Amino acid sequence: MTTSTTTAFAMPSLGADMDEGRIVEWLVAPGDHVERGQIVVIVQTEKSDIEVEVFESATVDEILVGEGELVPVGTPIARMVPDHPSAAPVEESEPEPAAAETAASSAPAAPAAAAGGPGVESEAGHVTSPVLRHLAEELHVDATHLHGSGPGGRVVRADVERAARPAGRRITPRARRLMVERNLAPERFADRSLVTGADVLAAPAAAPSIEPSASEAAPEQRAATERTRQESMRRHIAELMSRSWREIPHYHLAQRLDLSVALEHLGAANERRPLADRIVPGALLLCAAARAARKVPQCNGWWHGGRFEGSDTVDLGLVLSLRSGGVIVPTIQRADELSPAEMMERMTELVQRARQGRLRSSHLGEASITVTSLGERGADEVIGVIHPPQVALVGFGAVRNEVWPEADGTGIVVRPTVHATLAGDHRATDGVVGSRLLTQMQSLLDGALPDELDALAGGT
Amino acid sequence: MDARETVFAAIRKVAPDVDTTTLPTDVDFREEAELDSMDFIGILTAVHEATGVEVPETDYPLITTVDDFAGYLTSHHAA
Repeated sequence: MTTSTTTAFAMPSLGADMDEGRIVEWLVAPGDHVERGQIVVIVQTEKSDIEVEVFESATVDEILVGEGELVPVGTPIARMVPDHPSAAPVEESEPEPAAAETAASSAPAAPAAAAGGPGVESEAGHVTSPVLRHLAEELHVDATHLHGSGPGGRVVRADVERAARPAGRRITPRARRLMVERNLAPERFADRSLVTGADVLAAPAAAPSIEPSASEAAPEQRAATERTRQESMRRHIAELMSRSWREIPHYHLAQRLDLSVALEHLGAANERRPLADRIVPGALLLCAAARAARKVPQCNGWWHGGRFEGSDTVDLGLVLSLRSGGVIVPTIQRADELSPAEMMERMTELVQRARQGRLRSSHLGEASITVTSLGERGADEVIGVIHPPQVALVGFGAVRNEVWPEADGTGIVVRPTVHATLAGDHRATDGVVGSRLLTQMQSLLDGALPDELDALAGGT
Repeated sequence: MDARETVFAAIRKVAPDVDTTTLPTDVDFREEAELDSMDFIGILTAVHEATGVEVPETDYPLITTVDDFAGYLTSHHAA
């Protein structure tokens, strides 16, 4: 491998508002072989620690940026020797490769390079089944570059699962150090294939035999880091939102959505589902928003260089509030293709990962539209601010009982209700188009979604 | 294990930042600990794993406080 060319592995951009990141922990060392999709480094951003994955199988040649260092997005942080050098035509030279590498890895448009690879890729290697594609996304496997072992090189379930399996159980050096400090046995983490420092820090303290000096200094230091991060996060949120107000001529629409039909069917479906599989109303609302965005494509995309550019897929940004304060916005890819149950799984995973600081770079892809949902204890309504360069943001308030007129207009009736709002970009759409997105949600909540819930419940 | 401690343990599992030693047992704990509906399902799942008791959605109103939840577990545990 000494003759191979190396590629630069750059500090990735993990969200529209990120311009620098700090290396928290390297999970690999020079000489290690890494598989596509494997987590190699944990990066601290203003919002959270993010697990960063590699996009191609390679051998680590050199670590360029050490733990604790802060570098701008695009800076080479490691050198890799790819398994299939032709797939990454980046020659060894100075800084430019960083930009080239980021572009190549984030752009799905590398078919030419892939074709020059080992020859199992191309069309046969593509995952065409939506079920497998979802599975691949769930397991964070790049569905466009899989080795197919099925007939005609077709990708089968086992191929996706194999690609997702980590190569043995590993404990990072930092995790080992922390385990010793905190008197935790490695066996306590036996359920994990990869144990990082964060896992050890998150684990409840073991026996009370931790030295007081060590345990007292650490929390203080962590509190200070947390404070700095909070301040930095607030500043970044402010910057993004100021830019939005400055650049985007917003219009706002609001509509009450009657959830009585949807929730009735949801209740029936949940009755037959095991506890862990129960679906919350919020998942249904996300389904409604994503599918409505598919039906009103003028709201699904970005404002780039003076014109609207529609997105081929509905990639839903989901605003999650962190318990420590602030928000993070992971993306649910192809959200309009998900069933309510799949949406619930995706939501649960993102919420848990966001809270534990275990989001991955693949969870932070670019969204084509964003949803903010205040949750059950939130306000009635949220008047949103668009995340540039997107052109629309859907907001949901808390689900509450409200009074509605009866159909015949003679009386009133109480129904579970949510206030849905749309913030639209007047450069891209007008209120007429935006209204369609809101009314689409009501018809989805009254028709398609209850039908799917009935199918889940096993009824007809 | 004490039924109340079972509930506390489940809360801690889902929201490690909540100090259950100071959490009042006679108020709406979801409100008090700022737990959302996803957290709540996580808690129910943890309790189910620990006790085998699976709370149906229709019984959610019966387990708003830790005391009520503990009482619910005790009375349903016999089965």
